[in-house]
Amino acid sequence: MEDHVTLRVDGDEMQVPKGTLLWEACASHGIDIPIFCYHTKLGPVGACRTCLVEVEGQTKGPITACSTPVAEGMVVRTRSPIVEKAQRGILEFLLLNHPLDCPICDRAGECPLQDQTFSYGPGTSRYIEPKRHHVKPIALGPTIALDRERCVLCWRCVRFCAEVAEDKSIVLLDRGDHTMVGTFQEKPYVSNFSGNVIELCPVGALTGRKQRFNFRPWELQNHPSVCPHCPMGCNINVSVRKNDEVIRFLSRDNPEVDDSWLCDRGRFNFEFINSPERLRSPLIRRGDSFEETSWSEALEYIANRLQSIVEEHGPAAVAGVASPRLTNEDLFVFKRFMRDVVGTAAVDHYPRPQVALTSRERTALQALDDKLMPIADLNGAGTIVLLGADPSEREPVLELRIRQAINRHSAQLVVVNPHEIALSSRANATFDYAPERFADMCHQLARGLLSPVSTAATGAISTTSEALEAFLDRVHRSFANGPFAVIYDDSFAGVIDKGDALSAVATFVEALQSIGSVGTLPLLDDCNSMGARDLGILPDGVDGASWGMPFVQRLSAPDSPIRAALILGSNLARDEPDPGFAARLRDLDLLVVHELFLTDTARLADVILPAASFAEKTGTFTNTERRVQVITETVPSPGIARADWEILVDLSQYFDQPLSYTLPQQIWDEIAGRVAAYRGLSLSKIGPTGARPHALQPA
Amino acid sequence: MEPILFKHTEIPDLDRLEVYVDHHGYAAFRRAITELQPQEVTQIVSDSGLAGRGGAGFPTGRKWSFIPKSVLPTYLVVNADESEPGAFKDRELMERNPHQLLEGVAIAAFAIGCQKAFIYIRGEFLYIGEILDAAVAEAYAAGYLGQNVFGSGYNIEIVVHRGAGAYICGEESALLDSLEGYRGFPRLRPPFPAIKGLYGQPTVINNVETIANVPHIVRNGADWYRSYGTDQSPGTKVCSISGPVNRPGNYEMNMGTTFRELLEDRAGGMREGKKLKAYIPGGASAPMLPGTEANIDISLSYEGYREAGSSFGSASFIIIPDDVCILRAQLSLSEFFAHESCGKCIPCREGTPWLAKTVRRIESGQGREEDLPLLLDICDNILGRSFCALGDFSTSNIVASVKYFYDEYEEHIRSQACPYAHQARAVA
Repeated sequence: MEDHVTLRVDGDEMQVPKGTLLWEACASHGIDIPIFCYHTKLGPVGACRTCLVEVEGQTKGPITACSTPVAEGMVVRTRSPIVEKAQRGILEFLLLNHPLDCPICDRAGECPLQDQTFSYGPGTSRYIEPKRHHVKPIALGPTIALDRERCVLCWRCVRFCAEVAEDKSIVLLDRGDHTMVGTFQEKPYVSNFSGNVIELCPVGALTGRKQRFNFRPWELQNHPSVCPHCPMGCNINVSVRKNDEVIRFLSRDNPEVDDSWLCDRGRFNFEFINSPERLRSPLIRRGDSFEETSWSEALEYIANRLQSIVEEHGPAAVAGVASPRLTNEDLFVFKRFMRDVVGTAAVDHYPRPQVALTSRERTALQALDDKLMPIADLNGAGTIVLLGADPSEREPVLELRIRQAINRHSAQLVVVNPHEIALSSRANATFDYAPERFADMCHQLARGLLSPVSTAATGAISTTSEALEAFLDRVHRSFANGPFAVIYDDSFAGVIDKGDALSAVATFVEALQSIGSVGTLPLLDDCNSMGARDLGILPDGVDGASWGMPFVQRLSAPDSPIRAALILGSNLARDEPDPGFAARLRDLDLLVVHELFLTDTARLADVILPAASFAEKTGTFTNTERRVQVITETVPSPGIARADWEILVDLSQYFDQPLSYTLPQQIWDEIAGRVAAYRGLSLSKIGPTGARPHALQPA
Repeated sequence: MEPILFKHTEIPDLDRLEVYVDHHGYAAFRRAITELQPQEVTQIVSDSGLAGRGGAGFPTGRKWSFIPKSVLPTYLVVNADESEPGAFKDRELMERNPHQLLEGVAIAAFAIGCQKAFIYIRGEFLYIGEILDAAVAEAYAAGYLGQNVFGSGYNIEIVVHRGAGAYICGEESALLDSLEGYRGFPRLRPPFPAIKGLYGQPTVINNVETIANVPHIVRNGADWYRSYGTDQSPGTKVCSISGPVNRPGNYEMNMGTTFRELLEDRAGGMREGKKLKAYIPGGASAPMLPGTEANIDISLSYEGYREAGSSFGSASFIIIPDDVCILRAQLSLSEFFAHESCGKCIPCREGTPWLAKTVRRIESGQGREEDLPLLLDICDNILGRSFCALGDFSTSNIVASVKYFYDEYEEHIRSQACPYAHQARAVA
């Protein structure tokens, strides 16, 4: 135990790793020391002095456990008369100017100041002077309201902005007891990550402007789930009131994925679940309008129409498209329904890169996938390369992981992007290129990596930043220390031949491997895009393998055989740039749409089936690093809406080969038994923070 | 006694480079960098027993020896942010003999392997900053600063940096924040500045007077320096004395002489009609002492005031005469600490205004029986709990004034009025 030290706390001996902070050491052994300014995800600041403990030999009085590293032989008292007096004194100071407005404070009920005053505080105050007053509340920015009277100046929001998001937006203004939280020159606090400061705030000083006065914490139940708004798969708790209304999303720390942070797009996008616009029952087209109907009538109608189309045109006339926002269970049942019940191989998911891959390109994709790395391994990367990828747009919390890798683990960053991105300012080297020449640029970088003395006189590729040679020179110097993490965005915006671009990325990665080991992370479209790929929700290609011609292209072809389509949650009519595409959908003999809302696509349907949102069903999502994570049913669906897989199981009852799933767990068991990517990954192995199938295989 | 630091009181125009050079100026620096090794310089300073003159009294040579030998660059920072009530010695040292400081900086920098030193001067000392700027320019022009000084191969650059008006920036780690361009807040320790200081590099921070001693010690030797002062407090000390005395000002005193000599001989005694009620020996942070004969005979030394239950600190003597309300004097100190609290830690941020408000309330005749134990308990809750020493400082005079002038506090509470009310304007 050379790397451990032994200390005694309140008479009990403990061994903890060297360098551990005393507070962490105590917490890991179940010893509660009150804190305000300290937060496990932020650096210590030692400002609030609440965590004072007695350490033998310290002549200057008690010291702060949050900022003191453990030392061999340390003897610590956390409950002595001196410590208790210090705690009471600090809490009395904290409350001098704190308004006792708990009855109208959003934080009351889950407020550390309230809790710690009850646990450690003096009970009464001896302060008879007038309290400090501020104008309140004020809007710190579009999302956050600030009540300066409640603020205890713990620096958490300030440190979040300085250390985690690195925008330095929230700062301390003025001095002494006039000190207050604010922004420089009262500029609005605008950030992709602003909501995190609400959760960090240990009092009711920072609140969400939309959520103020909407709820009392004791009315809420928190259900563990996963954010559905991007493929990062940040863990969340869904707060539900009275079992029927989603009130907020809270972060749920998964150190492997989100490290306790959420982006605003994820955190604040929950109101759709409660929307009165949600579809509540099946709708069937009557001329130009829709009429509510029962499940049995809707499903029987669909079954009859499908059967007659199959009889007339064969099963290949039926196609299905599913959204990669559906669960693995939905997608798996969808594929089984199409293949085993209807008998067609024409499945696809949308959105996805609109490309049919050649066998060479599929090999390239496979090569990149073989190097798929865990997100948390970014902390071990020597150099992170953003290859035409902007995590801040696609998977925002990944930006924070990259900043953490740079800040705390000294990773280097290389940004190769057509334009400046949020992370460019942290890059050791940047290089830009004309988007349509992405593949050329990758090949040139690859050649440059393989032959350090570059002879390519190709300054023309770069438009504004470094010339290729200067860039490669810098890259060679900074690349001296692997391992590498290559993050690429396989939607390849602006590139005509996306398959070629994919091969080019693989070529680049291969060249990089001549210098050191490489891990890859793709930026994908939706929360379960990885699951949709793994479950093969893709059309067959010319040689029978997947990644064939996308549904959109097939339906747009003049000789398209498709006469009927099932669209599960994909809003093709809105998202397809071709204005004629909606007409192609309308011209189908049968269009069935599963949806939450009456979308542009749903409006074209013959039958609209009301689907459950992610908050109303149980299942799994697979995130960008292929971590399978569980979402749980937290509220009932509106009206008689049902999960997509349930709808399909019911629909299959009208066919010769009905499906018999009754529980999502049963579906996952079958996935874990039959789908290569997930073989052996049972639910018991997945657990509350998910699991990656790669981790099951011996290294 | 022949002055060491205050030669300007005897030599006219000593602030001019040629006059300074005529009186052995830069000879010690020349000797140091042409004849001595850096560690020999540190050894001489260690042997001299020179201790930090800013107030803490930490042995200077030891502080220098903490600088690691292999981590470059290192920095020397001179704390010239003199802003504690009662202290005004450094401004005279800089104003009247700037080259003495610059030579000391150059020698100290050489001793710790530093090639770029900073003088962080209080922003309000505007014209003194200009004097330093001019002196630095003169020294560069004459080849005493800059590249390859005296052909020794040693380079030294001195930057004069002006503060922006905060008492906290005299706290050495907050000073570093401020020097780096941030808002000044005290830093967590460890790491100590000797390991990670300015820009994360090993840094020595010394007071002006401390550094001003260095050329004399290097030129004349440690034994010569020890011929001044006492065993435990070698050397001299510049003492500032203010209040109703006949000749308030700065006096360089041999350590070990008595406060009586400073008060009666040098400062000319109390002004006519004034009697000594109490005095603060070491600036606003040092506990006041009643003006008893025994307290007047305390030896001017770190040990002398430690034994008397106070602190020699920066030797800034504030004289409180008998016609001044002690609460009024205390209020002035308490409001200073409340105003200057940086706001980083809770005990100092919330405690210092509470103390000031309570003292003000008692002084204005609205005191309650329970206010005296309350004052002492607030002090107890600040002392040893605050982030930096400035919180502790705010308590020392409350505790002392309640201890020595308990009757006066009680009188305010009992009569619900200030017995000195008619005098109040004079001391406000």
